[in-house]
Amino acid sequence: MKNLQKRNNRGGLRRRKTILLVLEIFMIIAALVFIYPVVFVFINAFKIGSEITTNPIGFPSKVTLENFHRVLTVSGDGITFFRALLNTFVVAAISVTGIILISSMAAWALVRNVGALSGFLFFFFAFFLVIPFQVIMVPLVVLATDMSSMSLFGLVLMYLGLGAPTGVFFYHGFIKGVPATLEESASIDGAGPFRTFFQVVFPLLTSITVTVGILDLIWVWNDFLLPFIILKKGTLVLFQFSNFTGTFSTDYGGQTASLVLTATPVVILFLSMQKYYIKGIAAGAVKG
Amino acid sequence: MVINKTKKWTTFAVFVTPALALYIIFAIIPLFMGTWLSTTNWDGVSPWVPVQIPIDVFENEILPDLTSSQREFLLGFYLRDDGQGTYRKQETGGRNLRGLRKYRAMAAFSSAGYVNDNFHFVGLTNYRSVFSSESDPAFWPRKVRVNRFKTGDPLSKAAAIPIEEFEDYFLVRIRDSEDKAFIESLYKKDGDFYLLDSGRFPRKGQKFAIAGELIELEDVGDFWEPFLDAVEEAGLEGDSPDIAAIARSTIPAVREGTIGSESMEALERGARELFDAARLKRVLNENWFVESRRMGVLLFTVFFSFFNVLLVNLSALLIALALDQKIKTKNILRSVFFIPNVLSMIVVAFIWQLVFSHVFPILTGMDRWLSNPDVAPVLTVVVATWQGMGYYMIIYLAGLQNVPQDILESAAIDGAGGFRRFSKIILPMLVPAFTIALFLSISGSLKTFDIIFALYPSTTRNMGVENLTINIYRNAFVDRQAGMANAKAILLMLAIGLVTGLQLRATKNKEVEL
Repeated sequence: MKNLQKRNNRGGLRRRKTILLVLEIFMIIAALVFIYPVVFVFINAFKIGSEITTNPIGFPSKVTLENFHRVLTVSGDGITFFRALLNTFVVAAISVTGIILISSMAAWALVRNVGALSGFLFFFFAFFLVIPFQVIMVPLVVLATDMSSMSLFGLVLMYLGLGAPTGVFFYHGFIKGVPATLEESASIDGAGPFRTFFQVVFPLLTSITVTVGILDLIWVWNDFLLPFIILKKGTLVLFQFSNFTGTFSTDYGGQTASLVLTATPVVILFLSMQKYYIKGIAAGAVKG
Repeated sequence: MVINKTKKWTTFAVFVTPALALYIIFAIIPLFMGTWLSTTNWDGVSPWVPVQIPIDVFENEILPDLTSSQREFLLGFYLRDDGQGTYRKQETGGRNLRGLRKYRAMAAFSSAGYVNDNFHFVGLTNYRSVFSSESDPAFWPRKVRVNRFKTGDPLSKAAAIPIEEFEDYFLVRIRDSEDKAFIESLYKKDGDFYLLDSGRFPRKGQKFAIAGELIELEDVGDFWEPFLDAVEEAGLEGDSPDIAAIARSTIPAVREGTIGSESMEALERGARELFDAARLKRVLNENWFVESRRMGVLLFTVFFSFFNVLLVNLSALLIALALDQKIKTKNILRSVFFIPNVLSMIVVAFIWQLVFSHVFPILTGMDRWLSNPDVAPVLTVVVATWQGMGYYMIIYLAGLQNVPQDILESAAIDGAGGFRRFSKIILPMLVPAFTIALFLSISGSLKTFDIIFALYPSTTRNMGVENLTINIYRNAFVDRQAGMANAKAILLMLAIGLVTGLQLRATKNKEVEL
């Protein structure tokens, strides 16, 4: 009886293995088809001139970096692509550092001071999730003009304000699970609140900090509409693609190369940090 | 103790204030301002404080109602200009009426009861006119006519017309019986086409070919040009031609009777050809068209959101179920399926523009993809689904982690088949994941902007793929209707709240049942 069940199981196991193998092959093919558009652009970025029109699907007849060279040196609206890339990087880096700083501080204060005010403020931050950007779009332009901050600096301030609620949300959920004993002993030893926070608490938050950092870096790097209405055209890298689209002819080599240059940083960031990024989405999903 | 408590609150304030202040300045104040703007007639560019005010209005109606400090403040910026008969806003010496000063000036004007034509309260007018078709016909489903033969097209474009096209989209539409007989006499059915009788147009109705023949005629001289122009115009306008009369009025030799009979024949022959060609062009232009439906802003927003939510969740769930099996490459596959989600929507749109224009024609043999208004709405959904799917896949994968393996195994031992295990165990355990995935995908789809905006730069309207967010952007920054744009944005916010609220209630109920 036992033997029979065992043999049955073994037969079932083999069948299961075959099914899994078929599934795996199918999924690999599906993934290849799925990612093909990205691969297509990547391959075409290394083709000479307009080879994309004569030979769109195949490999380059001769691999060239000439497109990348042209893209990095070309200047649209008085700003070079390289400069725009740098601008984007600086805006993203400062904004994300700022968001991490202000939202972790706020979340810590909210968690550690239990009370009606803290509860209200947390919901007040969470309220942000229901405001579509279109509602605040025109007022932001008015406000930015009023404050004379139609600039990269103004943009950074806006990212701080618009990124803080989600940051607070993430940190709030995490800090709730961190025991307060360490902080209490630190403050008994005479450490002030700033020292307690930055030397004792903040190091404990590293994993959520990395998550928030990646989520916000990718958000700021990829954000289009806010800089589009606040800044001069061409300032950030996402505005630069139009340099290669003429009225009568398109520089496909330049376009594909610029796409590759813009997307590579986020893809590398994602691939190297995907554990944290995916954890962030899952955590946000579970708490939301 | 009291000191300690004060200190505690100071610390609290110091830690919370930076985030709170920036959030209030850049999200909450704009929210209130947006609500306020939605009740004004602002166009988005006109200054909120008037540039100039007639002298008598300023001196007799505004100044007397102000406090002395307000009066002094306004007179610091408005200077009397007797030449123009107005008080003009002067912004000199680095002092300008911007920022807080602008609001102070507005407060002063409103306390005097002065109404700025370019910026004043209009109540709910914007909200009411959002739904009236007069304010924006593109908001509602509509028919548009696409001419197959445009004015200026060469006749070669109509040399061969597929039978179906000819009969259903051209011949039936010709009302004028003479025109109809004319067309029927010109086209002969041949195979799958109606062919233009080339014998009638030996030179394909080209004006310069006829002109070339007339230039040779000495007694016509240089006068063929106004003659041919007049003939062509008659054909285009649909007048029946009195070629002799036209010749008489434009060519002296005809008027004086000194023209040779051969030349007169050549004139008439050329004129007949040219007239027929012009007439054919006119009839083609007027009657050969297809009527194409455009969804309009409202319906397209619903269409896009519905199918995007459906496809994104369905594909994400299927892929998550597959990757949840014990397959070796699942981590790599997960990364691959997620990559589009970390790309900027602008990058995604450009990638697909290239794919649609260079790869799809080779694969399908069909040339027009993005520029074909019949498939444009579908393409936006395809691209948005491709980009968004990975995010929801992660949510479902996280949800599948919560499905207890031991229950699945014991169910399998008890003889429950794959489908039963899926519907009775896995699906119910996934309801929390459904709740959040639906919430995020519904609100995300309704808020989609970048991807459609970049796929169709400046042609969203013609292609019938203008959704509400793009319509709002357009109202605000192109159509100069900022008040209207904000009214639509507020309505969008309420709609998102309503739809997601209903959805959360429905799915949360399912969660409770478990």
